[in-house]
Amino acid sequence: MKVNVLGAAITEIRSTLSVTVKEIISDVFLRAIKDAEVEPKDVDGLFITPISFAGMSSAMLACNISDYLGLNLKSLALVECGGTSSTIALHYAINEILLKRNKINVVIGIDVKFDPFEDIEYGIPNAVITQYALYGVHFAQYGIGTPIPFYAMSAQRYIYEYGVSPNDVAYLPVILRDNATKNPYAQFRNRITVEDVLNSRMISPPLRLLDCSTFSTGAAACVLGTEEIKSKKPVVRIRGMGEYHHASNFIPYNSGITAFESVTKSAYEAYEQADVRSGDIDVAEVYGVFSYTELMIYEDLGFFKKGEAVYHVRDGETKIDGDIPINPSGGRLSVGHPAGATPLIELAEIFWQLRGEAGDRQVRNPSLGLVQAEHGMLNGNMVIILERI
Amino acid sequence: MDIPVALKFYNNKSFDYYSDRIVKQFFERLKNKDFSTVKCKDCGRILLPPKLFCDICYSSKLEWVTLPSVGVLYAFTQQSKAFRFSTPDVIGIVEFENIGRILTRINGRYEDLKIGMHVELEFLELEQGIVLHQFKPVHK
Repeated sequence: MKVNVLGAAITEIRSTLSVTVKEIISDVFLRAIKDAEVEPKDVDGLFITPISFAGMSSAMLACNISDYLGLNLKSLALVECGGTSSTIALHYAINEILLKRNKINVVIGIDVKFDPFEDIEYGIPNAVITQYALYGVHFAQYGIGTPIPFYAMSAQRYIYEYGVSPNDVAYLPVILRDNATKNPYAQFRNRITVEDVLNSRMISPPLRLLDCSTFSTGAAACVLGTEEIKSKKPVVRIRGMGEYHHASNFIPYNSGITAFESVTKSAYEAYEQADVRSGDIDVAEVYGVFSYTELMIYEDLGFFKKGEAVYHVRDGETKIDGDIPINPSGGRLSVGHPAGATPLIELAEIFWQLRGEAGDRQVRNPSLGLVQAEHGMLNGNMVIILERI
Repeated sequence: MDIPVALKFYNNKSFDYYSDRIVKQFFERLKNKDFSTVKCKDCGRILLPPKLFCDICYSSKLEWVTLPSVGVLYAFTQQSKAFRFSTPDVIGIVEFENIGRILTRINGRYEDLKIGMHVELEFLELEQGIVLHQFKPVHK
């Protein structure tokens, strides 16, 4: 039994969308099943993420959505595991097909931007409570408003341990933005320069504004099916998956913060299952929410040696026409980052790339693609390898 | 924004809900200027942060031990949006040799700090009757 990706759809990724959660979810659901050439009645399972980590409640959202979409289902779940939520949902959906319970499953990831500082009455009290859940007691006591300081300290150690220069790192956001100028879904599409990055506002040193992704609103849906379901379009198949969760959340107390076991272990599992090596990958989408972090992910996936990703990026190897194109969509820094949806936005991009439907940002004839997603500060990670048959 | 807008919304409910009786003791001890954690009586590992049981050998035979008052600054940054302290809010990770690391507040200017420098313990008393650990550079 094999599992194919039959269809995908994403919304524009923006700071806010002028439609409601139900409108966003129905939109990506209906477009994805149309792309997959299946009918709503054919859907056996629906797997979705919460609408936000710190915002309004998502309790019983899956039940509400199955009602709203009018779906009688054999499987239904709301799946939450930080930034990997939608890939864990995907993993569940894939397994239900491999177990021969279901033939067609739909996975939906969504995130609605919630900035507590813009909503003093509801947002701030809610955010104070939520930080205890998100970051744990020992961090929350110090008033951690966002995960940015954790990633900032990781970036600081990366500079310290490998002698990486912020001037070189600044090439990455520029390259990602060049890619995003070719992606109408992306939130940020104006060109930027290395000087723009180095002169942008300091957020949490060494991270400047243009080193950071932003909280965004958006959704993505993906339709999975058994290999028996025929289509005239190119077939994209799940070839391998890896998942690993280290016993830590954000800052690990006893291991380093510049290399991530969750990435190396899940990548190894995925490569082994797919029977490929990192060098065989033709195009990748990674969950790099900060420039420095993205470089560390490139290395931990095995694309470059530790501490050297920055030089390969500076030399153009990860551009759309480079040796190993990474984040042709523009990545999290330019596409925007609706965390619940981000992994499926990456998956949609790889799906389109493998089908040859990526428009102006099309990589030349790729047959093997990789998607990576993480939660916490890379405490947990998932790698998916897709191939065009 | 000098006084963080979130400050008045802090209460002990969320802390209680997401902690355990050992963690509560850890913060109670800070009120008595006692910076301690638990050590596993079976495997000898010092648990930092403390919890109900040793997460290596899963023994729950624990004893309280005093932590060093001087550590090494492992990493640091500052928050531009802070919930509890006024900005710029310098936070860092302090490492104690052969024990582990802890996230803490740093009483110092970001510009004056360096990875690897020695930092010493201070007790930070907050209005709500809460006492937290924080560290400042050791002056030679």
